[in-house]
Amino acid sequence: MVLRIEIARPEDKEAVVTLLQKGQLLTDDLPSDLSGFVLTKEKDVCVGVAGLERCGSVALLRSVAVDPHYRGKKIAEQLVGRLLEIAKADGLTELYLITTTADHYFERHGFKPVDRQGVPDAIRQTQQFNTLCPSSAIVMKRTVNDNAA
Amino acid sequence: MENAEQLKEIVRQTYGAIADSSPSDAAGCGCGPTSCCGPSNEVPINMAVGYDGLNGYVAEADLGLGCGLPTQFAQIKSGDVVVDLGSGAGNDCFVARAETGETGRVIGLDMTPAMIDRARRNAKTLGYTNVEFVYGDIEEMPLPDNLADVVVSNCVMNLVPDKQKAVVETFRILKPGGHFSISDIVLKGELPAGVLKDAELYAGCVAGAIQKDTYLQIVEEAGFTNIILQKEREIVLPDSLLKNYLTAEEMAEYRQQDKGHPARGIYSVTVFAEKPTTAHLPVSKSTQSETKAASCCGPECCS
Repeated sequence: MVLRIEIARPEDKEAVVTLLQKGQLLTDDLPSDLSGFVLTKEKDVCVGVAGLERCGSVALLRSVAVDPHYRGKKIAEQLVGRLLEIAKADGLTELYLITTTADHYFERHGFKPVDRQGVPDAIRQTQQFNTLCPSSAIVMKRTVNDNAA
Repeated sequence: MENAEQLKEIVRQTYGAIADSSPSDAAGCGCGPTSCCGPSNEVPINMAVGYDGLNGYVAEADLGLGCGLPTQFAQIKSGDVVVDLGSGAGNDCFVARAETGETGRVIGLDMTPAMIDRARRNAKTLGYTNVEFVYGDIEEMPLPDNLADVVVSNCVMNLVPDKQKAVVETFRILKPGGHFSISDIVLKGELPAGVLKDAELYAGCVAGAIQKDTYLQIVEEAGFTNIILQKEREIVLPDSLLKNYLTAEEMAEYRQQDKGHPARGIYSVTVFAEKPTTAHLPVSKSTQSETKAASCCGPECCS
């Protein structure tokens, strides 16, 4: 079995929505062209997704989901690694994420919880921050350029 | 086509000459017709991807011979033992060294003595005591079993005549649970005879490349798991080059797409794979953490 990581295309949307729904993640605010999203596929089947929602020089890491049958293969790690590479290449400085359940996972990948007050306005404007996620959700941040594995 | 030993000798001579050139001479030497590996200087194709933003990058050690950035995807951690296959002047080793830090160890393997000399000089200039360069063959590495946490290689495996042996050797020197991230050149689909002829001109770069599916199969058969194609990029041959070898009809056929992806061509790929911790790898217990990762914003808030 060989998996491949690729840049998402608009025609992948349906598969991405299905995957996010399985993981009970937001789908209402997905960009229609899936720009900023990367996928893991086996043959032509989408088994993992992750995306960056850009806001100027920072971005929201979102929609990290892996098909339950494909977990334990470090797919999420690979996808987030790829997004970090893209973020670096595009000169982004910081990534933020909002989670209610995965803070320990992301802590191991270089993210640290931050106070909601300290979050840049651009990130506050995202639907996830603004309306879709509860105020109790944890906001985390990492800088793009350090080498935390 | 030359036999394996002859092919290696050509590679040694070509890269020996590059190693002896000045860095500025070598700067334009990518895997492509712009390079000193190929006879044509007319078409600007450069498979080398920029390293400028990477920690540990050393201009003196970058001869522009790679096709990817395996170190970037290699998930190297502080303290890791990293082996670079076909280390050349040492650039990927120095990039890896930036990630392993002082507590790690980086070993570069190369079969061109002049490259080893040059890499050692570079390491000495940089004052690195934990980056070493070893002379040897990728098909028979002079390295112990279970040595490396990570193996990287940048556009080198395609030069190795016996790829299966090279992959089996990679498996042997990796620790159980270790992984590789290798950038390479592969072919996809039937390439028209004219294009293959052209590919031969990419001496040492495309000439030894095999079909992508075969490549991945060799990796799988060596016992690797979690094989992931981290990156795949077509080396787009410009019309001006193709038309030297193909009729308009053949060109159209070459460019034909299959489900949005080119069905054939020459590709630079970065492949990642793990050596299992045991022969029969049970479903990882780390599944739980990934389940959490999958849930960025929990059901209670988002449904």
